[in-house]
Amino acid sequence: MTADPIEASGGAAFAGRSNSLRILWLAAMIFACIVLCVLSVAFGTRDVGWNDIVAAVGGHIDSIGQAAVAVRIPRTLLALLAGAALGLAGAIMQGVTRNPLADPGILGVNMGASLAVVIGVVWFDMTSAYAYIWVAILGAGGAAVFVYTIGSLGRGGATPLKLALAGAATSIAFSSLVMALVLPRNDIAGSIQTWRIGGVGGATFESISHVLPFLAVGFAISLLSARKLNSLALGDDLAAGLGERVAFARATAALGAILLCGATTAICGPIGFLGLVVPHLCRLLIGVDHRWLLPFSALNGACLLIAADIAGRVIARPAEIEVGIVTAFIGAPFFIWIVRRQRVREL
Amino acid sequence: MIAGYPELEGKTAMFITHLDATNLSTVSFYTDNDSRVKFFTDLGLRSPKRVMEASEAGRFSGSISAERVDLFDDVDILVTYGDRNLIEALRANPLMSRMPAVANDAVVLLGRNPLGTAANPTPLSISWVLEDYVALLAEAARKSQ
Repeated sequence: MTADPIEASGGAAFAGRSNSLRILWLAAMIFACIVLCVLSVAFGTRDVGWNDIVAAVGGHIDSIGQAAVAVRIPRTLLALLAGAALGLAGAIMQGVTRNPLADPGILGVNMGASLAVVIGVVWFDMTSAYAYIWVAILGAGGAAVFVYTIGSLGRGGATPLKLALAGAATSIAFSSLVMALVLPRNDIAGSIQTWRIGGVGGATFESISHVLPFLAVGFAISLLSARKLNSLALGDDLAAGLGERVAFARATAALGAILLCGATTAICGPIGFLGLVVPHLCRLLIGVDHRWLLPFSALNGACLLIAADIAGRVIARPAEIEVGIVTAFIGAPFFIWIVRRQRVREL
Repeated sequence: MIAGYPELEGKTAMFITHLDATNLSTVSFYTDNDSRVKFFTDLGLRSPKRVMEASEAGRFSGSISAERVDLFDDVDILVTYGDRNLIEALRANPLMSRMPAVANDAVVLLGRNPLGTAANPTPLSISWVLEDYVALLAEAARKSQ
């Protein structure tokens, strides 16, 4: 267990990564997160003076500037939680499937959650926040099982390519179903269209409090799966030989990821590419030991989403660009780069 | 028929594309190039400044972040799809409640009933819904004074 084979071949510059270097990166990421949170509250589509910012943080919403800042505070918090959840879920999915292309969006999990929510809204007039969350989680879980089953059919089991293809096909199919459901409903078509882009604009402390318990359980289950994911990374046979219950480990880790994705999609809509980009970035910096990779992915995801939200609010004034679009701009070229790399193999 | 509602004359009306009570961060509206807003002009209503700016650019809709909601200070009447829950969510939102139209409750709500089609006037629908639609608009206009 001394020289990680993947680490050693991943680049001589990062071989023999020491714990002190990892702690350094972790501290740097925490600092970046705090700085980004401050920037997110201070900057937006409206230029706000320092006095207004301080007053708003203190709870006043007398002027429109203060009201604007007051709205940004829960928005920043939601971006932090959603980014952490998606980054972590991506890292777990890549660990569980040993697939460098795994991501809640690509594996159809986000789309499954979306379809479930749309069915609830269109057919059952669902309005309660808890209903949204439970339905999204069920949809995410159902889609994950569905995609994994399809990807495992045929020779070779669930290879990276087959999983990615199954996920992409399922996403497209679900997307068409969503459109078919929404088409006759002129009154909610616009809202659902905006929700499907994925954004953190709907953040209020109340909505965050609804989703917090689900995220907390998801974070707990996910972070506790770190050792299991390390064993799974060695291959199913070796993991079983080391005493790991492979199917149970996969199932619990996947459950954590599904809770995180479902809860996040329920409140933000499907935000893609974050779960894909973040684990790869983190692996470059901190290595493949999941006990470091998982928390670092969560932090990194939070930073990236907050930065994307700030960018979306500052670039297109006086309109906003939803965070789902910004992450697609960042993620799509990254996705192409990953696929074209020489050594795209199982992790 | 418009003569029966003098309070409509000269008022500005804005058609919001959609407002979801769960996400009030952006105000999206249709511009003068859209048939729904063209119908307003037929009824003697004007478009507010932001709508006219977006129309000049040739677009069918525009959107502005809720943080700049003061750009809509010249809007007298809002028309959108929704129900009373939406109005309450708007009034509870610290930014949206600053819109004069929301503060005066000068909002026309279209729902999943025949009136919901009033916004898109067709030769068949006009005779059905025109009176109700204009009455709602006039009521909103009276509240905005």
